[in-house]
Amino acid sequence: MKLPFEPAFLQYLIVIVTALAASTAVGLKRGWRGELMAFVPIVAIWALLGATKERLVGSMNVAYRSLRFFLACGSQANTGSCVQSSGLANAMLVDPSNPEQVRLLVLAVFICAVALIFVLVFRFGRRPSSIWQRLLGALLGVANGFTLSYLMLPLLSYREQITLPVASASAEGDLSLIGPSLPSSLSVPSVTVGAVFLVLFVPFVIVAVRLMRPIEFPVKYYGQDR
Amino acid sequence: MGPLEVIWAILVGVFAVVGIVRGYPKELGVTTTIMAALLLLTRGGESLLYLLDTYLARSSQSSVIFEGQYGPLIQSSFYILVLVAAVVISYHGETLAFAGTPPRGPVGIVLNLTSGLINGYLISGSIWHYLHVFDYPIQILGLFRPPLTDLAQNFLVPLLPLPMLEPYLLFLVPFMIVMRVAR
Repeated sequence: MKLPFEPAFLQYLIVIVTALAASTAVGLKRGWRGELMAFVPIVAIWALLGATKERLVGSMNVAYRSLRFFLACGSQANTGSCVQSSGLANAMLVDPSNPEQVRLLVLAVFICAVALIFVLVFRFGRRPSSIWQRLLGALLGVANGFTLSYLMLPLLSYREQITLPVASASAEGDLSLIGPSLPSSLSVPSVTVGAVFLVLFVPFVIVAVRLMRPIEFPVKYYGQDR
Repeated sequence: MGPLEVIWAILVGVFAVVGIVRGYPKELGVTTTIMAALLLLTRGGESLLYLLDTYLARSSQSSVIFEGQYGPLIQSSFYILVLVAAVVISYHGETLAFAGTPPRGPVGIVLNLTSGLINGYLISGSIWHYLHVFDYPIQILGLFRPPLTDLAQNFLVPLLPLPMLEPYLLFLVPFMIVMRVAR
């Protein structure tokens, strides 16, 4: 039996959950100001990458050729013949005519930039002064996480069908033994909504537990009677 | 009996009020128990029913639970009763309650309300789910008359907790226990 997962569903899920978790964590730790500090550069970089991806591919290929030239011909006296013989003039890391390769490069640069921004905000951002700023930051973080996923998902270029281990169960009968509530097929929206619930529920529990005050014992336990 | 979503909403509301009154440290303990019960039911509920059916079949010479006229009603009742029993046990006493008191002021109220709503959603949503998968066997008792309303069919049934959370219960239960123990 094959579960009817949407193509690349798992990648989509991973992107959404990771973006939501990272963004909410930044929001909780650095408040709404930190969230803004992270989000504005992210949108700016996304727009910049969209406008200059041809130049980015060109720069990447120039850097690649330079590195190969240094490694292959750096120690040679006649560099001209070395370049000719090794085919360095036409060497490319990313083929500009291949949209999949260009998209992958843009995605890699975007992820690195987002990770760097999150780390910088986490490291150098100021602590929020009140719990309300934290909660507002977390709320903004959830919204920003969704926006971040929205920006990143179109960059994913996967097309292949994923077969999960569950799908290798020999028959529907086997699945029904696991529990009657498990449907014969897991629908993508259910699992995705479940993941969203998880992403909201886990930080809620963590925050709630952190905010608990210790139990105050009556004075008589610690009074003169002891 | 009115539409199911009305009863569902009333139940969620009642649990929200209970959450505000009891405080979220106790409510989180209830959440842990409910999740553990749901994990038990989804992983071993059918096996338990098979065991029970085998035992009963010795005296009646045929399957009562899976093939009888009232099979869906018995199965549905089994799951619902186990869940309700777990809920009663978790609300009675403070066995898994988190140690501590809620913060004062609106933050505490919001947290209490949210945890009550979560418990209400889990409990009443799971009961609804067990009615739904067995095609509402309470029809036999005259307690419900299909079809569901459009609102319930299109928006509420797809958002029932069990199908959504089932893949994550194995993570959620240990997570709640860790949060309870290692604060």
